[in-house]
Amino acid sequence: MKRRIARSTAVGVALAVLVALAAVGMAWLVAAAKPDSDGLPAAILASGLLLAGLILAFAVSRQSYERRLVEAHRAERVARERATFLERHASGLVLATTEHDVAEHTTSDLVRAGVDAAAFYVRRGDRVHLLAEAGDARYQADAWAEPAAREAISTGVSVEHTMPLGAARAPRHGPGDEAARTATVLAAAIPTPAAGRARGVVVASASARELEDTRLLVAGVAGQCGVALERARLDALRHVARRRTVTLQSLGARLSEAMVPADVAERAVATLAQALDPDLAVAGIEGPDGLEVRVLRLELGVGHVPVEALSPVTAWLARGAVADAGAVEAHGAAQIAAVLGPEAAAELEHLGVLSLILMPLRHEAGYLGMLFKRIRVLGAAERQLLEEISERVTSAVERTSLFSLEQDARRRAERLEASVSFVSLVSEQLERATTAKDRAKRLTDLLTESVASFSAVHLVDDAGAELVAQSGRAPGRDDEPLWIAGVRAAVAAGKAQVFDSPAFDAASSQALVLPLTGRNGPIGALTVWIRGEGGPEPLPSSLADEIASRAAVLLDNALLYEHERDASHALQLGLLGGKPPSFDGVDVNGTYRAGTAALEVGGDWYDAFPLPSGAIGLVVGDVVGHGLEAAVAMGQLRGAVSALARSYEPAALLERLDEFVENVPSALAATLAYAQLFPDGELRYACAGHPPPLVVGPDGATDFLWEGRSAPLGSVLGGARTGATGRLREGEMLLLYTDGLVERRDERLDVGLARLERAATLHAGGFEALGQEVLDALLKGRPQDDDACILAARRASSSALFRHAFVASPSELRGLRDHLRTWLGANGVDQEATWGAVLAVSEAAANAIEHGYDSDGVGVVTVAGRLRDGALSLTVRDAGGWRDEHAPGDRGRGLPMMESVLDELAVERAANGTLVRMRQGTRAETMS
Amino acid sequence: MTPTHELLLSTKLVGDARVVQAVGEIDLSSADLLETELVALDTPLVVLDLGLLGYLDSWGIRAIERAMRRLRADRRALLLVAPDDTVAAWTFRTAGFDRELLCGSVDDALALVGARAERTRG
Repeated sequence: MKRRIARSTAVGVALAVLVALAAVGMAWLVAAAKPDSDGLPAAILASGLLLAGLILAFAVSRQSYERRLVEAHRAERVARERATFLERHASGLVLATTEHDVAEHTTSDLVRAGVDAAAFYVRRGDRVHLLAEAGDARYQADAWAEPAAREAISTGVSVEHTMPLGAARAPRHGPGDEAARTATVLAAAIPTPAAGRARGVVVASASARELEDTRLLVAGVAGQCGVALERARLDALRHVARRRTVTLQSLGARLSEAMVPADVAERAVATLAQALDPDLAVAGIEGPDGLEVRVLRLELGVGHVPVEALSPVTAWLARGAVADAGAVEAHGAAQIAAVLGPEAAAELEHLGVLSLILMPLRHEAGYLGMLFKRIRVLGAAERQLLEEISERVTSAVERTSLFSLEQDARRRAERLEASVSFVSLVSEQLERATTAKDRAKRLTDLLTESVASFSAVHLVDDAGAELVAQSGRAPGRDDEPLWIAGVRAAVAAGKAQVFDSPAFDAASSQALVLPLTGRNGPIGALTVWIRGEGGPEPLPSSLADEIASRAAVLLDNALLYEHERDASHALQLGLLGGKPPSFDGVDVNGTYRAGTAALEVGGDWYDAFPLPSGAIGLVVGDVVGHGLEAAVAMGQLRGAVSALARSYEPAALLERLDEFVENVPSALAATLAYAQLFPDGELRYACAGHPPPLVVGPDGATDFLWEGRSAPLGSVLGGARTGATGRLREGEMLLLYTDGLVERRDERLDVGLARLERAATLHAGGFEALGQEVLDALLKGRPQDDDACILAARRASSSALFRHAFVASPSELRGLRDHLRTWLGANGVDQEATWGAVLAVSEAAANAIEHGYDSDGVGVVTVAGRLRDGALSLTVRDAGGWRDEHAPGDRGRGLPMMESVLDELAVERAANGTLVRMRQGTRAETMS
Repeated sequence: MTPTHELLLSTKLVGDARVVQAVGEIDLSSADLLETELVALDTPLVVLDLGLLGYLDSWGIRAIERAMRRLRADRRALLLVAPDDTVAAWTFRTAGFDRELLCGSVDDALALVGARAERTRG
């Protein structure tokens, strides 16, 4: 901007010089024209003109400079506003979880920022798809924005169009003078992480005056949307992957039970309804008596529509399906009419149907169909899922049709029935195991029990083929190379291999290697070796194929499931991984333990982060449910807490989170405890439906923070969020934890809390291992269905501290004395003072064991010591009831001994235990 | 020899005296055992050497006192050995006992016993 001002000044000066030169020239001309007159007036005239020219030039350049200056200020303000806007927009995007959220948030923000209209497109294959539009209602996105969006998407770069205003927006009162004015349409491509075409486009209409600013604004927003869309896409992918696993597993189980085509139809519609949320699912399956049709979820129209009323529609569906080879999607009345004809389309329109999806089955086995009362476009993963469903349904149809035919041909039927039931048995048995390895082992066991002498499963990955299970008598060492070659060949060719060798004697046995083919290609091979003599009958090859293909699906599912589970674990560990950052004056230590009974990950998490106020934010939370969804919700919630914590106090933070969980349903009803710990020890905290934080003192004293409590996140019965304050003194520790640690089904919560208090007291000495030790103490030897985590924060202390806790047994005393001697020695305390301190502490501890707990081996005694400026203070604490308070006679020796080695001794007895406080002053004077 | 968690007692016969050397620590957990062991010895004289003891508490002192009383009732004697600079001697002082109670060495104790035996005979 400065350079432009300088340039305009230079132009002004040049102008002035030109004017002056012209003036001088004119003066000379005048003088030359009147040779007789005196030269003086001409010279005066020339000088006057020169002066006037200079003044004029200066004025012009000055005015231009000031105008530039004002413009520069304005540009600066606009840039600042733009930065603020982008920042706010980015923080809003954090809360967006779907593409639609991103789109709506972005368009409405752009309109708020001053553009006339905004539209948001994403790319679906080669098409553009409008997700949101906002602004002046006269703008019709398809007229003004779509052409630019198409161009930006196909080229991957931003484009600008100028069009008459009248073309951009529908005139309110007929065409007017708007046609004369123009709108500039700015379309900024949203980048993909990988290079290539754009993922979407942000389009805005701007007036010429603010063009430059709007251009930067839209480009900035598009950049932010790229990140947000990628996150939304990953969330959606995880969701779809999970759904797909569940769907295919349950479909496998359902179809294996189907005996006739009608059964298949029934199970197919149930699966469709579950997998893709249609308002109506229909399956037409060819049976011996014609098309068996099953319809599910009759929620179209007002009230329920009887099946009879829909039968013409299903007939149309059937026609439409049979007419086409692949899956058909139709959206809107016009497209539906093109597929089913005008009559059916009118009927469906009347019922409010907006989308139709049809999937014909191979071999004219029938069709699957779905109707939606909303526009429902299938994503690539969903389309694949639908294809997989249809593939399995087709196989089941073939199997059940065969089964039906066999009822006429008895002999064949018997055999086939046996085969079918064996195949069903294989499916059923395999489904009981969860991991691919277990499934493979069940398969080989089943085969060797009934049809084979030996069987084995190889699974392949990038590294090669791995033998994961085998049963029966394995081939000899000499045959192994041949066998491995057979496995490789079967995997490579996708065809069964029969091989023979002296050992795999072809005359008396059949050795088969069958490829196992998953949804994305070969996953391994199944070896079945049937020895002839006295062994089982050779396997019909159709049955072997059927077993291999069924097993392949089940193994593939297990592999997919394992893959997904690994992904969940990785996600959760990634979120919890690493040590928390270190903080001045506070040690922080978090520990997470996954549930052992469930294979899936849970939704427990913790986090610790610095806050702008200088405090430390500490949070532990628990998302309802398990698995990928819970892990993702956990990640989002964790992100939201650390983002919001920068600007909100605990209670207000919970209120913001209530709003947040409305958009993240799987985070609903999550509980959490959040605390801010300030450098001076001030605590501010709030609990949303979470067990209370626990404060553990260096002397083992414990205190639950029962204030600042309110309902779980998003609770309808919530009431106001409240927070509370407290204090963490030097050496004290704050424990946040999840309910998996204290809750057991068969007991009251206070029992679990008391157990936690005890464990924390016992293990508070070693801070680094505290989390592991407390988790061990509370969870060991129990089937742990839930996961659990614990976050500890301890304020450092400026004095040398000693801590020792033990259970009330006399044999623990020696360890206490050894520990105390070591600590005193390390801190330079001399021998006699050490003897005195050790005697006093051991006496007090022995009293606690004998009289506080009656040596029960359960109660906990804690000893704490602090050494500061040569003064030693010690406490011995128990939680027992003093039994023989007035012990007679020879009991009285210990106390005088303690008094003689101490400067101060106080014994505080209360109903809930005894505290002995001791002080030893200057070391030299203590002994005499 | 009677090993416990923390106390090792070894005895040897010197003339008609049993010399018991206590190594380790005597506290609540081992006091009763000490008393039982001392009373069970079969000689008229018992010398308890506490010179190598690492720790002694009021329970231990009471056990020694009780053993002393029971042996005396049986017309037997228990002598204690603990050099001045040991933790046992320090503990007895702390408990308010006269330093005359303790002998400086096993030989001193046996000499004392010998003198006493001389006196008895004479």
